[in-house]
Amino acid sequence: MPPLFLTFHLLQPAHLKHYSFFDIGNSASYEDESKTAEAMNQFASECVLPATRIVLKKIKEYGGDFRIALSISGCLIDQFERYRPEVLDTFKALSDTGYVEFLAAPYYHSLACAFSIQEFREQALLHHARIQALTGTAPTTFRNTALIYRDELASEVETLGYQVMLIPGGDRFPGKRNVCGVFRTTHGSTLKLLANHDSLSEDMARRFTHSDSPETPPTSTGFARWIHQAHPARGGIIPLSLDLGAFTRLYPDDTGLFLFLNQLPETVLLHKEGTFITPAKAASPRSAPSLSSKEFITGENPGRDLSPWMGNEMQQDALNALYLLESRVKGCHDQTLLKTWRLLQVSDYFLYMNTRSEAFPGPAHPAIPCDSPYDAYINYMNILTDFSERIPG
Amino acid sequence: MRILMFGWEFPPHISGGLGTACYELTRTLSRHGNAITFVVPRADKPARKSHVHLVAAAGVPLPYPSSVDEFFQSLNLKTADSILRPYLTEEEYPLALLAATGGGADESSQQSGKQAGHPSVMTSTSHYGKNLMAEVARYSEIGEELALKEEFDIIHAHDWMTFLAAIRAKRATGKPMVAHIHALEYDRSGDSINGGIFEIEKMGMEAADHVIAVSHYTRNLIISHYGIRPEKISVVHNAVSRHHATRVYHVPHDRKKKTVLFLGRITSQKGPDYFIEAAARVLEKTPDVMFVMAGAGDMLPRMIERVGELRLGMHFHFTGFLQGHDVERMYAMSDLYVMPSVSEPFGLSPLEAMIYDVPVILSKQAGVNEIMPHALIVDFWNVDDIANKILAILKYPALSRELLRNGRKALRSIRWEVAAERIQLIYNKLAV
Repeated sequence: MPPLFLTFHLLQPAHLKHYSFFDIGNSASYEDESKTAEAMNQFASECVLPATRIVLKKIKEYGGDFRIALSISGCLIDQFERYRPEVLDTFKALSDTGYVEFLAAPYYHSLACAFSIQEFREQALLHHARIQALTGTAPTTFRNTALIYRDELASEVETLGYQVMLIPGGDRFPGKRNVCGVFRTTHGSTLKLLANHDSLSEDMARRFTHSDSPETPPTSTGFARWIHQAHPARGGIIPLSLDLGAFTRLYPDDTGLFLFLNQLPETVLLHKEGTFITPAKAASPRSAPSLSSKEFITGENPGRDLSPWMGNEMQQDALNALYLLESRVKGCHDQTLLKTWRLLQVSDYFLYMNTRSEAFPGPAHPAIPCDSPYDAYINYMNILTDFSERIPG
Repeated sequence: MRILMFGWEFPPHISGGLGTACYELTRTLSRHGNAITFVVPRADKPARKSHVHLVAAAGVPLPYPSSVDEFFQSLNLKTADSILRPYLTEEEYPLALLAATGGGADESSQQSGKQAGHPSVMTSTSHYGKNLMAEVARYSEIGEELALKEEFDIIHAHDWMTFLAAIRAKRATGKPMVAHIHALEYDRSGDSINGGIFEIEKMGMEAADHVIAVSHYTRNLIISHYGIRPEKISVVHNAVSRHHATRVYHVPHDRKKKTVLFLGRITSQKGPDYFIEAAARVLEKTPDVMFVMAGAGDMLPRMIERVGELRLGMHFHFTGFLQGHDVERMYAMSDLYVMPSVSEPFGLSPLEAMIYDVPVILSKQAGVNEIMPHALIVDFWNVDDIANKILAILKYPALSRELLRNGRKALRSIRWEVAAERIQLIYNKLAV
């Protein structure tokens, strides 16, 4: 069994208010704070706190043999701080063990990389600082929103000082199949690329009903056996990226995620050569094969490209309108305006405008808080119209 | 299979969705090899070739038989002398009777918005009943007579006015009966329902071997308000035909001023009052909009008055009752169609609007929502939300384009052939 590199990422967007055309010019508050608070409380109590406690316990039990990575956006950290500060304490405790690596990411879980490289850079720096302040350690691995990648971005991530970047695997790269493990870029940089094991990640989060693993909810035994059988002779590592919230939504009782987490270390470590690894260590080999994609690819769309967020006219219109405001927003040096503009960049808001039902990430995704993609667009555009009218000049 | 079908209206005398639905259903059912005898309660001449628009739609499979004569040969059109019309209420009946006897014809056809230009077909009126219910009863006698003369396998009745006829035909012959619900008294009259009509609807559905509802919305009303066994009720959604949409209307389009359309009977069921209140809210925000209210009905005078009170006359246009090409031209001129119905069993017109590339706002209380997700949905009473969505269509052009792009795709699978196939399955089960 190859070493397992497990990343849990946490997603929970703030809820936007129902904002009518008639609110434009009358209300500068865009967030439904009570809904956000409710969702955050539920997320913290039913998912994040119990899961992190188990991980903490297991790390103590197994010492350095069990280790994971965590990816949390900056705006989510802000929300935890506001609504459930004790969650940040458990993050700190996890970091203190030395066996949990916190990953860098765009602060606002945004698509800035596709619209403004300057904004992407600023959000990465903000997040870097936030993680360092929270854990006392500077992150060295970068995980972009939805694993979005293209070559140009890799250079940018390297310039920002990161050594490793998580990227999509499987068949996402043009002309490649079954991409998984450690790679390098084609432009001679030292940045290591860690390609996600797409199908295993998906199976774990969404449809753990593989013929080899009839258990539903998934058991760690079945999972470990499956990994072992699927890759008996392969070298390298298996990076898995899991949405912690999706796991709990699919298997809500404590037989699901928590039982799985409880048993996972033991069952994996029982196997010969079964180990857990974190990116900084995983990406050591110098002679990795290279990967390249000139166009954007993502790990969260079977169609590879960014169409789930920007595949239709409404999404493109909203995103273009949003990023067109950048120079005006930054030109007025108003921190409140800047923060509001950034909060409106959360990628989920554009996913809600997707009209192709098959493009949605399925039941694992948080409930979409709008009646239809059209309502999502109308609401967003009303908010954006009001916001743009508030920018001086 | 041989079908004895009882209906209210048939081309060319279509006054609403029902006539269109009956026409399209009989057309597709007859192509399935059924021989249909269609009984209409009108003393009109049977439809002739000239009344049918036969147009091959580019890119869309030709929905019409190659020869119209062939179609009408397979369809045996019978008429029962009666002045029944689908949307007649007890109050309107004396007016219609007056029209039929030659007096006040114009007034009555404006009132109910039907059959303008055809008052002459009702000349001999001496044997008409004194009230609507008596007419229904008389129609049912004719139904029984016809049933005894005709050879058929299945009785298929469309809405309440034909139910007594169908029940009598079933009793006289023992043949299985299908009650097809296009609209209920609950849809038409809300809380002030006519008890007699309600009773006939209930009786018809109870007597029927199978009930067809035009939407799940209607099916649920049938279960909750009429106590009909759910397993007896199937949903067969209506469809829309594209034959009109090949005509190209060159409408001078004032780019600055947008047109928002209400088209339908101006009765409380259709929610015209909510349209006007929403228009007033919209005009608070932008003056570059023209609101058109097309149609006629008992609420029209009050609506005109309300527009006056709100001082919106400059932004409102009342067209009166439109039909044929005028309807098509109206759609072609519009930037948005709004249907704020209080209760709409199906609602064909939004689909027609979409064929003319007009995006639509629909009330949640409309069955058509079940097959058309690419519309903006509102609660009919939520005037602010209707206004919000009208403004969104006017201000964010990407919204219309996206609605229409997806709507066009969805329209392709909404076909009368699909409806006919489902009805055929019901026939096959009943005929065994």
